Amino acid sequence: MSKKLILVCVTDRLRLREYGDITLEKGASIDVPMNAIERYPELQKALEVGALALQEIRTQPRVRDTSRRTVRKRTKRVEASKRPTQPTMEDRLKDLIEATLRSNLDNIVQAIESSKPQTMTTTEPSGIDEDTLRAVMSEVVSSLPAREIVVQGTASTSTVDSVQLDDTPMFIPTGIVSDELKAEIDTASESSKGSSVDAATEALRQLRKAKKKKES
Amino acid sequence: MSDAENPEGVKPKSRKKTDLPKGVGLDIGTMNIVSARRGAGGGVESKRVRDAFLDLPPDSKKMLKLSGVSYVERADELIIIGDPALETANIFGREARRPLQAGLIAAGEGDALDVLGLLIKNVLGEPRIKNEACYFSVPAAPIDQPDKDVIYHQGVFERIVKECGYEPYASNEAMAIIYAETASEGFSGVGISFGSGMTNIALAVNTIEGLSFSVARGGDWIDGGAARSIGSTQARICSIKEQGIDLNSPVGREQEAVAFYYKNLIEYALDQIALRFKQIEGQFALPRPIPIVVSGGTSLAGGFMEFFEKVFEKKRKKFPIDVSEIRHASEPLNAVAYGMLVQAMQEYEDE
Repeated sequence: MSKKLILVCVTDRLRLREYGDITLEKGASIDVPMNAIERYPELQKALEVGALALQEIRTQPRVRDTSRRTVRKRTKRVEASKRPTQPTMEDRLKDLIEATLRSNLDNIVQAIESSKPQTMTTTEPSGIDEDTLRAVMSEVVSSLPAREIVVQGTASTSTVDSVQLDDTPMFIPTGIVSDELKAEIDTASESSKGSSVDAATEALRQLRKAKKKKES
Repeated sequence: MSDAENPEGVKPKSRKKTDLPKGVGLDIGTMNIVSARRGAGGGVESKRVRDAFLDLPPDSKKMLKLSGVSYVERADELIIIGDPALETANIFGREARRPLQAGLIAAGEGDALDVLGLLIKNVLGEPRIKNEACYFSVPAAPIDQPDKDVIYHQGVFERIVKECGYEPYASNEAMAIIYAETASEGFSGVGISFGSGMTNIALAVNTIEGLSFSVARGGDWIDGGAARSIGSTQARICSIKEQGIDLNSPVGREQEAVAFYYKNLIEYALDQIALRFKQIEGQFALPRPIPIVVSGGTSLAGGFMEFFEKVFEKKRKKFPIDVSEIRHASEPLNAVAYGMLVQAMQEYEDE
């Protein structure tokens, strides 16, 4: 009795040419033997880039059905019965996919693009559309818990947290500084020569001048 | 001056408000709000106010008048703002309220907004020109409290500064230390601002920010931790700190507790710098050793720098950044405001 994996399609449409030339719609799932991942590189690639996601691992043999209608049926059944099966293997595969995706979206796409000529010469075309993959990866990456994603900006790299990814608009009240509310508040005033400020201002000015010159 | 004294009718030269150097730096901290701007004579003028207030019932008015404490009347309450709030709180056996908690303003604190508006208006004063540039400090998002909202905090202060007649520019708090203190290193270094509510950290090379984050631990965290561990109160620990303590030779259990939490805070900050830097190491090269510049009110405790260096030396071997020097900011309470001022003045460099 061989172990089987249930893989769910997370892209809008995915065609697996090597693996029986089947086309999966989003949400459809297929049962594949454990060793099929090794035998069919396109399955492996689809898993790596997140076009396919591992639903669960079964020890019971299942009849593979590649037709779309039955696939939809099975998806419902799988979702209804979320029974725990061998979490270690599943976790390992999930971690692998998650880590690959999180590492960097652009790097993955770049890697796919750079491997394209080799794939063309050594194997048949995988049938996975790169644009679709890019879209899927963006979606999957954005849905991942953004723990500490290192963002490379135009001039800086900073760590951001998931809270900043929330795009809910924030209401900021107006009229905070009221003309009606007046108070004489005791403030501690100091005066310094400010030589460090002078030096910093001058150094920054020179640095920006040099940068401008370099650019022009 | 009469015409007789000035027969040619030439008016004496007086500097117009618009002739004065323009640009203001504003450091908005949990404990203090500090502004800095260039004075007419070339120096730097800074104003500092305690970021605290106390609300009292209207029947306290007579007592406040007798004691000479200035207050603001609002709706059904009297509000004392700034340093007097802390002093009066002791008399009434109350805790002064702080508009900022752990470095950030809390959404829904309506009272705090009005008070912050007043505090900032007083510290900034009138702008020298319409929409004068004001760079104000914002902390980086705290890595250990992801629910804290930096966006709301920034939005509120942008609104307040704007309503005071200035053009607001939000800028990272720890980067301000780099701008104020590392000109001789080409604005390269690690800036650490040990504040009351949080600790802000930034790493930059030639003004380019490579890393910035904050941890929700600061002076208040030390007070709270020390108080809990020895069954004391936060206010008591705070007063022990303010009375003066030598971190390198603490006397008694209370001082030992304070020193323990100081050490823990420094270790935590250094560990986080190492961890975060390792994550970006491949993308951000450091061409030469850089200094660590320490600033903030929490760094004013006796023997802090020696203490910091001792903790760092234990970690130096495994520390991923080649550190040239560890030094204290020239004016730890004003460094952030000065860094903001340096940036604000750049807005008028072409004039």
